[in-house]
Amino acid sequence: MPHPDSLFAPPAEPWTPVSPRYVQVKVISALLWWGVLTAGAAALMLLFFGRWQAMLAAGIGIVLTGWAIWRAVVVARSWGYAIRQSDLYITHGRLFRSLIVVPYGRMQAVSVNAGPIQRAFGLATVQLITASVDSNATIPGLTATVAAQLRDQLTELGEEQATGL
Amino acid sequence: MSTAEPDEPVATNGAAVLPGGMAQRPHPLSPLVDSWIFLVAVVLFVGQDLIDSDWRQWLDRIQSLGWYSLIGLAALVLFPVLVAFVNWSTIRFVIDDQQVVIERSFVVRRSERVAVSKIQSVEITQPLIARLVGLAALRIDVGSQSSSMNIRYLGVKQAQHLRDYLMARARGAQVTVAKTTSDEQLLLKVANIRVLLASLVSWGSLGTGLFLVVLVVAKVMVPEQSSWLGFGLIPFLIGLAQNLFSHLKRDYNLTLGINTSGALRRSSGLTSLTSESVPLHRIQGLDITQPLLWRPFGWYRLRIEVLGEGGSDDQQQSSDLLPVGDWAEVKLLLTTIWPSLDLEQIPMRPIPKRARWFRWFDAQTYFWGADEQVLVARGFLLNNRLTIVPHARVQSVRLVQGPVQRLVKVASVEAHITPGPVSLVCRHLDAQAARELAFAETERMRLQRAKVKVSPALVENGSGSRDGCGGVPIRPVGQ
Repeated sequence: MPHPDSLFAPPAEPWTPVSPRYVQVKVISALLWWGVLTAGAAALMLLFFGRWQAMLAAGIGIVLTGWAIWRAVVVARSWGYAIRQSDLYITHGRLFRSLIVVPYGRMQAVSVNAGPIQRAFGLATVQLITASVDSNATIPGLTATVAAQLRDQLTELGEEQATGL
Repeated sequence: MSTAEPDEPVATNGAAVLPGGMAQRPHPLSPLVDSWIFLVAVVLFVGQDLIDSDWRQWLDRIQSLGWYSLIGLAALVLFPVLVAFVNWSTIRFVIDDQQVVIERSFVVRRSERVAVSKIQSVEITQPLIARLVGLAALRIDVGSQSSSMNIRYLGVKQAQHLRDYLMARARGAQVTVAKTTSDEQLLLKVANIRVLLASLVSWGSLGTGLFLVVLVVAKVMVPEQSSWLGFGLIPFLIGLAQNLFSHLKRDYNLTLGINTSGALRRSSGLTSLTSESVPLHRIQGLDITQPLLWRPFGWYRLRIEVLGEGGSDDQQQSSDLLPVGDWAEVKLLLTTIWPSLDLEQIPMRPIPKRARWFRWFDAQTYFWGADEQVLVARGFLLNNRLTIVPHARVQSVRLVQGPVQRLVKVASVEAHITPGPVSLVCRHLDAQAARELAFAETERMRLQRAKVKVSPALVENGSGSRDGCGGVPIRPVGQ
């Protein structure tokens, strides 16, 4: 569930969370990324220095990986969105929090993508494309059916309310 | 989105799709303008040869080569010119009441078309050679996602006529190609001296001046060692001269005018004359900056944000509407672009004192405010910037808060517009005020968008219901 902070509270009804399986996706990517780094650092240490240095590097690496995994869980749970009459609200983040509002009238395209890990869990990311590159309105971790539904709904709303540049 | 008219230039590799109107060709002298450098090289080469040796010897030498090799040599040398000529002969274009179609069939068949109502801006460029011959290149900008369409070259009058027509159509006026008239009002001219002086008054030249002083002092104190210091000064001087020249080259004889059809025109250039026209309602936002060094002179720079091709050189030109001007000129431009905007009436609110944790030296310069039509943000010390964005042009709004901001209970609000030099961020507002601003902004966006849908031009008769919050009225930036 996204954070209960009043500053990032939803505009009316509560935030719609993304799929709980997204937590697993983020954990696996954190594990892969930091695990490989840790193994690489430990191997280097073993090669050039010695057993003690390697174990030290491995220890630090494991601590960092654990922190990354914890952070991944927290961030993955913080995603939320809300579909309102004329705008889409998306929130995410724990340390760096952000709330973005995109009007349907400003949507130029809706795209659905999924990286390999997301695909393995049957999830996808929906992205709204506006004329501004800073918009960066994405909702990751949606199940395939929800993503398709959202895409169709947003496309319809976008066409109804489209305004020119 | 499906519309009856084509959205962006559609390039197809198919058969000719010109509508049954009169297809035109670019001007016949175009291939010469494109390949003038080869012709000049040939003439120089032959001429030099002729001068070096006696003309009888030269004739003998030519004859000894034989006819075939002579023809082959000529073909090789004139090959680029031939290519340019063939290229020219395969270009056709049609600009009629609905769309612009350009067809090229040199090697690859390519057809670009765009609906006239989707045109963002039109530019007429005259490189030096084209200027001498009286030709101009027409460039039509459609949007950031597609590249612009070029027609090289047309007669100057024809290019201007087409430009006026396209600008009138882009605004939604129902004119036809034949009946376009152009009534232009000159807004202002920027003196070349001022452009020169303004590019001199910069941190770079200050640094060079300082270096010069050090050099003189060193020469006095240690005469025998200081010659190499002089060498160190040379790159600075070269850089300074380059900077000066590039500014002058771009902004020489800068004039700004406004067309009755609602298009802003900016013309400037030393060797190559460029004239860019932008319909007023395509202006996504603007900002007025004043570097610290310009304060004693009272100079400002006005930049506008237009949706167009993102080439670095091109964008620099069209977005830097007024590279250096005084406050009166800035106000004139503001009233031209948005007549209903009254900058002094918008109450500007400062940011809380706790924002000093982030900007200890210039938190006091940050202000923000909004009225019915625009959102305004002001800030920075070294480069004082005032950004104005109409609600109708905002694409999305974001509320952000970092960990330190959370401790201090402030947050920032970003209003996103099309990519470019202008960006609006209200930094380090009180957290609750930030949230209110973000949500109020979405509401205002919705209202203004509804108005824009009714009439395509930005509504210019706004009545004044201001954001009543008793803040500090805005003063001209820096005074």
